[in-house]
Amino acid sequence: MNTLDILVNAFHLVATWNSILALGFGVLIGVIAGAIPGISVTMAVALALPFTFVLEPIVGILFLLGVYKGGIFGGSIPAILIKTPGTPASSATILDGYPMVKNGQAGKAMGMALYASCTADIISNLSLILFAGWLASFAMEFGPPEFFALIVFSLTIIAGIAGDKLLHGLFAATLGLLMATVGLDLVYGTDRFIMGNTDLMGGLNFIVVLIGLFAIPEIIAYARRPSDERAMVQSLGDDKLTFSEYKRCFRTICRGGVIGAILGSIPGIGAAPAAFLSYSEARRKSKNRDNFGKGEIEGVAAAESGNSGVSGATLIPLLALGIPGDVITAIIIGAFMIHGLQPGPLLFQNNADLVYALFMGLILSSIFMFFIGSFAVKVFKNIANIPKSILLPSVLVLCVFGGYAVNNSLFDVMVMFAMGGLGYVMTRLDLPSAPFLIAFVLGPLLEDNFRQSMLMSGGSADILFRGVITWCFWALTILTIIFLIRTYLKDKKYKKQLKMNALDVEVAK
Amino acid sequence: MSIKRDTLVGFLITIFSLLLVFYFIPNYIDSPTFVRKIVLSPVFWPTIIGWLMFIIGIGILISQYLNRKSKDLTEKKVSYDDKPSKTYDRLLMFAVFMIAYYLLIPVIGMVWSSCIAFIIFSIFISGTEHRKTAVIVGFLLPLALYVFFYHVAGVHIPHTDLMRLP
Repeated sequence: MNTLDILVNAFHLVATWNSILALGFGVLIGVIAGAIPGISVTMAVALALPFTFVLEPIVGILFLLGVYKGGIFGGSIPAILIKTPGTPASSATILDGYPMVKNGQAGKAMGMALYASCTADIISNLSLILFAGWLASFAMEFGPPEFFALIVFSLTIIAGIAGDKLLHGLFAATLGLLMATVGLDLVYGTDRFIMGNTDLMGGLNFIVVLIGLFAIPEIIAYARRPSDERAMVQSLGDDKLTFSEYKRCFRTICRGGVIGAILGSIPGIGAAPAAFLSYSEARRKSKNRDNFGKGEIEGVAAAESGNSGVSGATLIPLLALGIPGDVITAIIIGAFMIHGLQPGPLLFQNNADLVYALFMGLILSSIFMFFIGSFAVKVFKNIANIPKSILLPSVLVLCVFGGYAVNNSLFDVMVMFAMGGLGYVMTRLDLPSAPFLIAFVLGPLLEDNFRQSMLMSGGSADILFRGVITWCFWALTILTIIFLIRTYLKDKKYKKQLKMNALDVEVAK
Repeated sequence: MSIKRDTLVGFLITIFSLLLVFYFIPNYIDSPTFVRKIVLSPVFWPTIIGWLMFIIGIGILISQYLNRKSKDLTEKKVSYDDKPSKTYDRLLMFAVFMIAYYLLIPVIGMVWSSCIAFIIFSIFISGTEHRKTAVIVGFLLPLALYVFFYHVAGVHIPHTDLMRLP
């Protein structure tokens, strides 16, 4: 098949009512979920996953991508209007968004958030289209040792950047790797941690673990301290964004989009750091830097473009290498697997039309986001007013139906509840869930590539250092560890300094 | 009594890793006797993970020991005295509720057990003011999910003869 045939096939895949409706519906659900404080995008994508089992692969994946993209923008609505970020990625938007609302410019702030998100989303999608294919063709040269080194490198970044506690992140990742070993051994077919339970022979189901880990802990936390508190939603007013304001911020938006795309393409970094970096760069370069934090529209543009610039780019390592960049792409990898597709370089070779159809769908999602986002901003008051005492029981019921639907198994529902309990304990002990889940997804790949390498070399570890590519990944892993330790020590020193200052103040008193 | 949270985490990880390496791996992983190289054995990978956990646990304990004298302002503490025991009672009650929900599914089917669970969660556990909405949503949501999963997706949602749905 030549490129033109692939593009024509891809167009036929995406230009169907099913695909278009799934994408639009996905964006709508994502925006609503992102806009509801207490429902994270991750939870929304996880709960949406079981509904895609019945759909065609392209339709199901477009639906999930719609939820993802819509959710990232949706999170900015409560961040601006009620000073509560719907997603961690929207935290930077509060800095100038809420002061703008206080200054009576809510409509302007929301307008800028929407325009900046859509523009940066297009930049991010273009980066995906330009680089994913190139990276995949490069990855075609990878064998098991190269993939093993790459996964070790990815896990190092993910575990290290997951939180301010390096060792906690690393433990969460090792726990995820351990959970991934449950089931029959990949090579010899012997039992591992099955404990006589035949339901565990196939291992712990990824989707069940995912729903349990990201939805149930929220429910448990709410059940422990239930409250139907509602924030005061500010009115949008008549003050709308003008074209000259958009034009003035265009450079900032593009910069934020590029920052988001670069950071998004590196596994583990995510949207929140991209938003803050974009914001600080905008403040450094702006003529109105003194106004940042007091209601500067450029600040909203920078934060929103930074977080939205990530969403397309996180799919670069996913599609090209089969490595999920964050938790949401780890869920999307699950959607690929359900439909018998394995993301990675071979996907570009065997299912190129599907990959290009996804690219087309992503471009379309930016347009949907613009229209659905404009609508959601207007009806936000109704969305934010859904009481948690109705919302969270609904999430619980959705979890039970979704968890059961994976394998038609009640055992999976039990595993989901158990994972929910584990997720809640992890939250209480400051152990991040993201490294756990990504390690759980990558665990079988890591072990499989390691053992294949050992089989190839007859048990010699030399094969893990066999060429330039493996050496590059090992060097990057070591550099990452050095960087993480340095950051950790610097952070400790800074905290110690803070304590000393606080003690000095106490003594002075 | 007040326990420093990270010290507790360090202890738990260390104990768990030792249990893993010396009890769970030898007892719950079957390794064939004919494995030529240890690196290919089914126990090799979990053992590596176990020792990594041990190193991390010890790392956390050492880091806590080195910082023991400094009064850490940012450190969170688990203080069992300053938390109202009522929230733990609620936690326990919710655990019982989840177990009961799970056990009820094979008895009366997933739809009806979900209706009951929704209403109990919303009205009695959350104490909602919107009781009518809770009852309406409590019935409509499981029924809508049943229609989607059973009739559209072809998932065999557990039924019993008690109020069998079409």
